[in-house]
Formats: sequence, structure tokens, C-alpha cells
Amino acid sequence: MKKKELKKKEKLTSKFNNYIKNNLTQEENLKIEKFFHELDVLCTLPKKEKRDLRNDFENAFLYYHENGIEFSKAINLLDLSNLGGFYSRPNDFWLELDDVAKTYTQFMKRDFVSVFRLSMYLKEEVSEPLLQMALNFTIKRFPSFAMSLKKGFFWHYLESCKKRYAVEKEKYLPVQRIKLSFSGSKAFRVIYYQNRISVEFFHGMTDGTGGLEFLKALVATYIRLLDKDIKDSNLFMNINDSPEISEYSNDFLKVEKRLSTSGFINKKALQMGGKLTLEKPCRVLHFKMDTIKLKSASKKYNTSITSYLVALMTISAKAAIEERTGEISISVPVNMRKYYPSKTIRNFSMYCSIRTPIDEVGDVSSLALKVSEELKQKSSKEVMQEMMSSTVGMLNSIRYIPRVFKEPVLRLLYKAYGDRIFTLTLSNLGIVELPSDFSRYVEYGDFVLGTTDVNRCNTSLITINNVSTLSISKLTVDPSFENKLYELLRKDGVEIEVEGSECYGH
Amino acid sequence: MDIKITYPTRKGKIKSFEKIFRTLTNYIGAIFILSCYASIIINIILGGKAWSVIVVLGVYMVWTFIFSPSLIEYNATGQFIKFLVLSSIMLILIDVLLSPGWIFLTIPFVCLGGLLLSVGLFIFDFKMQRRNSLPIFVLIFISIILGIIGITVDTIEYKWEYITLLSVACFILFALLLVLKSDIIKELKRRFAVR
Repeated sequence: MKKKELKKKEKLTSKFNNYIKNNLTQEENLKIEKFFHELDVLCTLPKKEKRDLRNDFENAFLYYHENGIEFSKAINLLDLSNLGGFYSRPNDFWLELDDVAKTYTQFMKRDFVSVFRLSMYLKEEVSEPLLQMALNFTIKRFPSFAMSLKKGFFWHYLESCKKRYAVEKEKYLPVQRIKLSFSGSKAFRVIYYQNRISVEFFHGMTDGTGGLEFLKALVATYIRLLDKDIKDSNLFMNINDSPEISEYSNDFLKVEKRLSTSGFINKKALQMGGKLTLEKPCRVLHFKMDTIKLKSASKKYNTSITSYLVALMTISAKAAIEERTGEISISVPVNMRKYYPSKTIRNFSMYCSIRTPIDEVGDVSSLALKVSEELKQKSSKEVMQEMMSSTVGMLNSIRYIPRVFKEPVLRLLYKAYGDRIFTLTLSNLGIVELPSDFSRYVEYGDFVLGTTDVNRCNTSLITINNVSTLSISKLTVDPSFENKLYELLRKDGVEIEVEGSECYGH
Repeated sequence: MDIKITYPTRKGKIKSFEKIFRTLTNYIGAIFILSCYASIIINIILGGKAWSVIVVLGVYMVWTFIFSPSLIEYNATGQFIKFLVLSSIMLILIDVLLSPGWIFLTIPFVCLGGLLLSVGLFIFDFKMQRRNSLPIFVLIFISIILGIIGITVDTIEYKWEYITLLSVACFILFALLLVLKSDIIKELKRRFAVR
């Protein structure tokens, strides 16, 4: 493998040398020499990483040459000022985990790390050299993402990890486990496939909102590198702005601390049937829907899209459950930024659960109304504040206990009250607003949640360019849930285009 | 429901090694727990020396190093120091519970060898490990404490072994303090943060 890589690099260097020799004038030759000399000075990474970073630039120059873009334009697009000081500063930055991240890190297992994924589908096939350059430029704006997880005496923590972050070509199923175990392991990965750019994040580092900011900045940078004009806007982060401290603050500390177990302790929920697969997830499905049609379907029942989908999912889950007593519980994450003004791109969300006894699951109209009221009440600022303060209070009360002692207790609590109190999760990231000069290069997006240990599926929704994509990540081959959901949506006049992966069972 | 496949198709079945390892781990975990319980019960029934403690520690060592390695900071230095500490505990237990009389001679040799090897690993990957120096400092302090105990306790005969251990540990400590300087304070701040 290493020999193959080395050969590839040698081939690239000779191709690049030929390009310099045969296509550039003497003046341009001097310019490029100066350019790489400056890169050499700017970059204090280890030798191998430095060489890889240089190769990225060489690749990008070759891409521009092959696509008929003049050298003068190429050198402007790849301006070294875009690297900022990221690759020249020492690794001194570190962050304490936010309160939600603390729980994510306690529950990690050999085969389970909480991961989610955000993707944007472009109108053209993605070019690897430019995406790699886009990542090289974007990462400096998000120092809290260039981190690796470390062990602390009381809590784990995040430590800066300066390296060249490589993009990967999609090989298999999404939201696979991110390996965090080695020194310098990255906590996110950028993947591309055909016209899709995806970023998969370890949930301990950020939540959907923070992840979305990264994806928007990355895609905008990529499009700009394609020599397309996108003006700066407050709808996405400018990669050349300096990161603000408030962007990586732990905003859970903004709330008053109170010690209670509000919202955590609950009865076990019913789980859908079907044997758990070894593959996690074994399949991912995307229901692509017209947002206007989806909205009008929900309006028919006087509810929001989230309440409407929770109602449909409760009915669909019933179709996949054999037991006839117990409760179906759908967990709905709530973005706390809507209650507390916050700029943080780290975790700042809580959740509420919508519980329905299985024998009371009736038709959509009655259920949608009940769900709507319950969701309104359970996701209100007061309830969320209480839950958030109890989380902070609880973690605060055990902060002086060494990690080796509190970890097993927290694990036991999670086993009893973690994912078992939910049947599934529906996370709605809402409508992603993009400026028109940006959105014209984007078709739609998707948002995929990783699977847990017991819940047979998780669902998530994102709306980009008037396309709402409902993603289902599955942990069983039993198709009852998605078939029922598809049928119910179609019945309400919502047209669905289904995309996804193949199913890998046992 | 027609599904348009938009993900690459996996070639072949799930990697057989991974699959076998995952399945094996689940079974072996159960077998290990059962064997621990069984050895404790048999030990209690048969009476005599508490050999089951050594069995339990041995099983834990195999489990933690082969079947369930660290999920965070799985690096050579850290793993080696963990192995060294667990092995030392194992030796002490064997001495105390089964055949006493040799531990005071063995421990300084094990610690000295382990200390020198850990420093070697640390220097080999210095750029990466300089911000991961806590495990090596823990080992140095353990060696210093053992050295002091060995020298001061009258019943321990092998003084030269402990003097060597203490002086080597002190030398490494000062050398690392000189090289790492403020990095150590920064690392302590990070490792012992309570928020």
C-alpha cells in the first residue's frame, strides 16, 4: 500500500515538473518557486504531512491546467493567505468537553461511537484535488474541529491536532465508526462520492448546527476554488475571518444549575422488531420530498412538519412492533440556540421525547394533534431549561470524582436509561438558508444520524433548496417501518424519490 | 418502493476477520466472566491460597490488551506502561499469595527495564509524545517511590538495585524536565481539568 502511494506521489511530482517545464514562462516559473518556498516556510508540520500538503497544491495546479484555467488565475485561487497561521502555529490549543460531549465520550464502545453526517449534493461531479484544497483552507476557521480526544483524570478533553486532514473517497456505508483511539486521530472525516460532499462528525465535538456551519464553509470554499463567484454572506462563515472564542464556548454553563433528574429517567420504550445486524447501520435510505408538498400535508392536520412526521413515525413504528402493550417513544432533539442566543459551534442541544401508548396509536389526524401539543409543551423553554440545568448540575456534582470511578456508574445508567427509553429519534435540522449565488450550485442535502445499540432505526430531516430529505439509518433488515412511512406520506399526497444504499444484513 | 442506489456497493462480504473478531469477542467476554466466577467459587470451596485473584487479574489483562483495548489514546508508550503496571501488580500478587520471598529483588529490575524501554518509546516518537508525557512521569514517580522505599526499609536486602533504580529515575526526571519545560505544566492543567 505504501509503495503504491509512494509511486503515485512520484508520478505526480514528475507530472508537475513536466507541467512547469513545458507550460510556464520563466516569470511564472519564478512565481511558482517563490510560492512553494513560502509554503515551506508557512508549514511547520512533520515532513510527511508537509510533503502531502505540497502535493495537494501540485494536484490543484495540475487540475487547473487540465481544465484550461490560466496560471495567473490558479495562483490567485490557491493564494497561500488562505492557509492562515493554522499550519505554522504550535499545538497549544485545548478544550474541555461541553456537557453533552462528556456523556457521549462516557458511552463509547468498541463498536459504537456517536457519529452523524451532513452532505450537500452539487450539480457537478466533485473534484478531489479541489475538495482537498478546500479542506486545507477551511480547517483553520474551525480550530475546535481540528482536535483529537484525550484522556483526563476527571474528564476527557479535546486537544488541538495540527495535521493535513485528508479527504476520502466514499467506499461503503455512511456513518461508520470514527476511530478516535490513536494519538492524533481525527474526530471528523470529509468524504466525497460523485456529486456529493459529506462530512461525518464525532458527536462529542459538535452538533448538527455546528456541523452544518462547517459543511457550508467547506462547500462554499470548494465552489470558489472552481472559479465561481460566491459573495461573503452572514449565511455562512467566511474562512478567512478569525475564529471567535464564543464559537467554541460551552454554552450549557449559561443556565442556572439545579440538581434533578428531570427528563432523563423514564420507562423503557418499545423497540421495533427485527434482529440487530452486525453492520451498523445496515442500510441508509433518503426520502426526497418537495418541501411545499410536505408542508401542505402537515398543514392539513394543523401541525408543523416535525409534529406531522413524529405522528407518522409513531404509526409506522407500530407496524414494526409485535408487542401490544407499552409505549412508543420518539426522541426529538431541540436546538437550544433558539432559546439562548449563542454563536457556539459545539454541542448546544437537548431533547424531548414524545411518548404514545401503543394501544392509543390511531389515525394520523388524532395523533398529529396530540403530538403537536405534547411537542409544544415538552420542547418549551422552561422544560428545556430545567433539563439542561439538571444535566449541568448532575455533571457538576460528580466533577471531582476521578473518571475511572464515575465512568462505570455512568455506563450502567446509560444502559438502563440511555437509548432504551426511546424507540427512535427524529432530528430535524430545519431549513438551511443559502445565498442565491451559493445555492445555485447545490441541488439538495442530507443529514444522517448514526445508529445506536438498541434502536432499530434513527431518522433525520434537512431542507435545502426546497427539497426536504428524510434520512433513515437502519439496524435491521425488517422493512416494515420505512414501507409504512412511505405509504402514509404518499397517502397524504407527498411525492417521494427514494435513494439510499443497498441492504447488508447478516 | 423503488430505491435508487447512491452509495458505492460493497465488494464481497463484510471483512471476515472483523466479523469473526466481533463475534468472538462477544463469546470470549462471556467465557471470561464465567471463568472468573468459576475460579473464585472453586477457590473458596477448595480453600487454601487465594490463587483465583491471580486468575482474575490474568483474565483481565488478556481482555484489556487483546479483546478490548483502549478507545482513546491507544499508543505504544501508554500501552507499555499499562502493561508494566499490571505485570508488576501480578508479580506482587504471585509473591504475596503463592510463593513469597523474591519480589524485592524482581521489582527494581522490572521497573528499571520498563522505565528505560518507555523512555526509548517516548524519544522515538518525541514530536507526538511530548504532549503525552503524563504516563511516563507517573512511571518515573512510581520508580522514585519504590527506590526510596527499597533504600529506607531495613528488611529489604538488595540496596544497590534500588539505588540504581532511584538514580536512573531521577536522572530521567531531570532530563525530561529540562527538555519539556512548560509543556508539563500545560499537560497537567489539561489532564486534571475538572470542568
